[in-house]
Amino acid sequence: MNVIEITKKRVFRIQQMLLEMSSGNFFYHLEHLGNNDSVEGIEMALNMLSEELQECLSHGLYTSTKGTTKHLVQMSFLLDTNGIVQMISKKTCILLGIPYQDIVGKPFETFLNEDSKKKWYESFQGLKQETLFETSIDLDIKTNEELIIPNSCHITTLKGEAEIERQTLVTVIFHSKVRYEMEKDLKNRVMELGNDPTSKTSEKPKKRNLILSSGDIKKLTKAYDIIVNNPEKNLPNLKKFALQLGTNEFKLKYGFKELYGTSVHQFLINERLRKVVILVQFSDLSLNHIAQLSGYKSYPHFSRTFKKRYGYSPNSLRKRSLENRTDDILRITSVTL
Amino acid sequence: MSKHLQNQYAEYLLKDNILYFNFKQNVEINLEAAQQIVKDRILIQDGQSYPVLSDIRQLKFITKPAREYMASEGTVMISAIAFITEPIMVSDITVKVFMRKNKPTLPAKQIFTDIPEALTFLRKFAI
Repeated sequence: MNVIEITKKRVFRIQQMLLEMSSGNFFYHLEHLGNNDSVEGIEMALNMLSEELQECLSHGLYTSTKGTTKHLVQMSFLLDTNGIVQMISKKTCILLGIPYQDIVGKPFETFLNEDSKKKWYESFQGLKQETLFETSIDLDIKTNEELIIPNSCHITTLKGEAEIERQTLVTVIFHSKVRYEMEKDLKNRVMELGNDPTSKTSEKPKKRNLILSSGDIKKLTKAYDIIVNNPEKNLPNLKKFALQLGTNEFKLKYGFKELYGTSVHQFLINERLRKVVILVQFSDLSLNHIAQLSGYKSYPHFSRTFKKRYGYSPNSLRKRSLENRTDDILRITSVTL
Repeated sequence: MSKHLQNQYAEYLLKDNILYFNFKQNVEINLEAAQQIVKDRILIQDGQSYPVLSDIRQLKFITKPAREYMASEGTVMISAIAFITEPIMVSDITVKVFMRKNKPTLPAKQIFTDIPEALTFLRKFAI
């Protein structure tokens, strides 16, 4: 393919992406071709833009700055023992832009990009070896217009009576709560030590009947920025904080919860602890010192708040993190320059 | 004496109280990669904050969860950061989106195309 043809193809992909975005479809992505040129800069900017727009939409048009929100089934593929597509859902045809007859009967990997094909082969091999198998992997699914849909895919085998051939269901999940899952994963790893009882972690925000103007949202965003930039500092009480922002206590209290799904106080704790977790896990700083750095007056207070938030103590997390510390330190080399 | 560390995504060199961070060629950073990158950075820093020269010219793509993680957890123990990018290329637009949208919580941050200029900026924070 000569340069003009390649450029044409790339412009066509960008047009397709813009068309999808103008129709409100923000889950498509442009594939990374690895050219690292100015056009790829635009392509990556489009990918990031669609991610941001998607999130605005899933948050009721408010701009949420942290985390994604929902689990939705986007596409379903039913495969036979050889990985050939047998059945698909209606939405699969629509999203891929490929007619039903051109999907059914084809190997599933036909619809994946090169990187994802490798991941799929590995999972499919694992799947063949076990009677019942279940896993989740991230795959990039290609559409008819050369766009890709990068998403989590849940792969599970289905088994009926002995004479019926085993089948595999691939479910493409649209969005997931990334932060929640990350914390859950860490919790599971800490809990493996078995020295810390489980307690509650996250809570669902209650809906309040509150209408926020753009001015209100601006003030609440300012509150958000103040907390994010200074999580180690204690806030004044809500009334004083509201005055400082030029709003009232009611709007700050309920508006903040409406906008960010958590109370001002809880948000401060969460922001504080996000960085604390990194220090507890990866640094050698004493837990006492970390407590002080993060704005806690005493270690017991810090430890209590930490445990309430994550369900395990900072000490348990530190113990778990120390397991591979020596191997990690040995990876550092001294160099004389 | 300097310290060196690398993983599959990046290389770290701690020299003259500045941490030099380079992405390896054509890397794509997802959340898992971002976590490994932050973990290794904290490891080489050994409990100290440092100014960071972050050369991202080889970065291919960084996902949204990874950008969010880098802007929050990823800023721990960084006293200042200078990003090295190539004008109008992938690294340039990526870091601009990162600075505007993800707003990394850092005391000092700036984008450069010239390494000596970036080092002059960082030396003010190298104690």
